[in-house]
Amino acid sequence: MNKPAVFLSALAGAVVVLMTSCGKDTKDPGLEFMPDMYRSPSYEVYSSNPNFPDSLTMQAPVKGTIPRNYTYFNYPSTIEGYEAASRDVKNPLPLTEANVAEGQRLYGIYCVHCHGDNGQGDGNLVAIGKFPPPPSYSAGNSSRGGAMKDLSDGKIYHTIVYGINLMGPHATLINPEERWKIVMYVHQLQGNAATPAAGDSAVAAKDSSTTTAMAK
Amino acid sequence: MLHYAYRHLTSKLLVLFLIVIFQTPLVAQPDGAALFKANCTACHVTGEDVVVGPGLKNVHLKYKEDWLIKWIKNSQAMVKAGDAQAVKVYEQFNKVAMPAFSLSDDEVKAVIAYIKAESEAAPAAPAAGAAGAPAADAGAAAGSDNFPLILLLVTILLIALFLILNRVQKGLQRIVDQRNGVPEPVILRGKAGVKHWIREHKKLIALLLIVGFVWGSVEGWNALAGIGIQQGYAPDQPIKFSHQLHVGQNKIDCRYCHSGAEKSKNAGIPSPNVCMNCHKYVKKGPQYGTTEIAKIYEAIGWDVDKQAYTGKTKPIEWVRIHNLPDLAYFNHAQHVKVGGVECQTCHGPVETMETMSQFSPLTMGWCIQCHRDSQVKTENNGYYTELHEKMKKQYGPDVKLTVEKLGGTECARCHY
Repeated sequence: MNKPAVFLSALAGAVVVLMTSCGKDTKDPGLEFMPDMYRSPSYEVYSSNPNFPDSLTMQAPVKGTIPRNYTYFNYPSTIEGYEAASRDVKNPLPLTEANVAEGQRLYGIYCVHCHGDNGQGDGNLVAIGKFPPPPSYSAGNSSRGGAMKDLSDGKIYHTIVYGINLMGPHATLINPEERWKIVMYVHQLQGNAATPAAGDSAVAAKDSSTTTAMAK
Repeated sequence: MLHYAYRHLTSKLLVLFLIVIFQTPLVAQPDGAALFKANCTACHVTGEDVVVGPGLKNVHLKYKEDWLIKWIKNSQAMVKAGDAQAVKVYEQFNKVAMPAFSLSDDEVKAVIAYIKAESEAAPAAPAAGAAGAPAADAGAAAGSDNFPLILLLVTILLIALFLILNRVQKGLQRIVDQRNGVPEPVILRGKAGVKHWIREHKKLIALLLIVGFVWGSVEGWNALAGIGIQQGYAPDQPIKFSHQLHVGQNKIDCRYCHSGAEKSKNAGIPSPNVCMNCHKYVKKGPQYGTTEIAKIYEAIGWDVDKQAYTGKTKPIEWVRIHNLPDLAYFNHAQHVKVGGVECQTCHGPVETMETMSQFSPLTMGWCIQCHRDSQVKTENNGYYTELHEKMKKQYGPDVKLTVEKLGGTECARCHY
C-alpha cells in the first residue's frame, strides 16, 4: 500500500466518524424555509410586547371587569368571608351521576396528587414524602374549626378559590362550573352525601360528552 | 473488611435502638405521629422551615410544656389575654392565627413527644441519601457529554498507530530487499505519481465514488426534507424544569399546570402562581437544590424570608418549542376535550423527559395521517350528536367513522 491510499482511507474514516458521532444538535431548531409564517409579525399570546410596561402581550383584564356568563364570588379571603360563603352559597348544579362523574374526573386532575384517590390526604406527593398531608375529608378536622366531613358547599368552594394553609388558590386553574362539580364529588368523599340522580338532565348530557373518553 | 462490616452493624443497631426508644412510650399513649399528621401538617413541619406557621424543630426546648399545651388548645385566647410570649409568637409570624384544637392534654403531650423524637432523629438519615444522588447523576451526565470526543481521540490514535506501523513495515521491507539484492523500486513523485496511482486503483476509486454518492444523496435528501421541521428540538429553558420529575415521579396530571388544554386553543404555559401552589412549601429540588426554584420566586416576587409577596414581578422568558406557522389553525380544547386525545399522542413520553423536546414532526402530512386513521369517539360524545347520527345514516352503522369522514381533511378546517 502506498502513501496516497493510506491518507485517503484515513480521511474517509475521519469524515465518517465525525458525521456519525455528533448527531443532530437538539439545541438548534434547524433550517427554516420561508420563516415568515412561523415568526409571526403580529403579537402572539406569549410573545413579548414593547407596548406595555410589563412587556407582556397577554394582559390581565381591566380591574373590575368580568367575562360574560361569569359568576362572581363576592366573598373575601377571610374567615368571615368563609363563614358567609358557607351560609349563603349553594351548589347551583343539579346532583346527577354525570356531574359527580365529571367532578371525579376533575378531582383526578386538580386534587388527587395531594388529597388522594379517596380524599384521605394520602395522594402520591404525600406518599413519596414530598408534601405534608392535608386532612382527610371523612375523618380529619378543619383548621378553621369543625370536622372536615361537615364542610359545606360554600366552604369547599371558598377553599378552592382562595386556598388555605399550604393549599394555594386554584381560581386561575379551575373555572366556576368545574369548581362546583369538584365540590359535588368532595361531598361524596366526605361520606355523607346524598345519592346522585341517575337520570340525565340537559346539563348532565352535555357534560358527559368526554367523561368516558377521558377517564383513564 | 470485617472491621468495616462490624461498624456498619453497630450503626444499624444504634438506629434500631433509637427507634425502639422513641416508639415504646408512644405505643401505650395516643399516637403522636398520627395526631400530628391529622392536625398540624397543614401548617407545620418538624424541621426548621417556616411553612405557614413556624418549623417545630426543638420546640419542646424553646417553650415549657404547660405553655405549649395551653397554646395548642387555644392560642387566640392567650393572645387576647395578653400573654407576652403568645403575643410575641403571634406577631413574629405575620399575625396568622393558629386555630384552637380540641385535643386532650395527653394527646398534646404525645404530639410534643413526636416532635421531640423527630427533632432529635431528623438530621442523620436524609442528608446521606440527598448528597449521594446528585454526585452520581453528575458523573453520568459528564460521561455522556464526552462520548463523541473520546471516540474522536481514539480514532486519531488508531490512525497514527496505523501510519507509524506502516512506516516501520516499509523500512524493514527495504532492509530485507537490500540484503536480498532486490533493486530499489523507482518512486514516481508529483503529477506522474498521482496519475500512476489512479491507474493502479481504478476499482477503489469507483467504489469510493459510489459510496460517497449514495451517502451524500441520503444525507442531502434528509437535510432538505428536514427544513422547517423542528422534531427533536430541545432548547435550554430559563428554568431547568423537569417534566420527568413533576409528571413521572410526582404524578401530577398534565392538565393541572396546562389547564388551558381542555378549555382553550392554547394549552397554556403555567404562570408562576401555579408553581407557587406547591413551591411555597417545596423550596429545594432534588437535582438543582434551591437555584432553579429561586428563579420562580424572583419571577413572582416572593420573599422567602418574610413569606410575603414583594409586588416586584418579572416575566419568565420560556423558549418556544412547538411552533405552527400562522397559516395553520390548531386548537387544543378540540383535540383534548372533544376528541379525547391523550397529551402523549402528540407530545410523546413527556413524563420521561428531563428536558422538554418536540416529539412529533408537526408537519401537515403528520396531521392528515392522524385525521385519516383516528376513529371519532362518538359514544356519549355530546359535541357532535346530530352530526354523528347523520354520518351513521350516510355511511351505515358498521363503517369506521374517521375524522376525515367528518371533513377533517378539508383545507378550510385548518387553513382559513
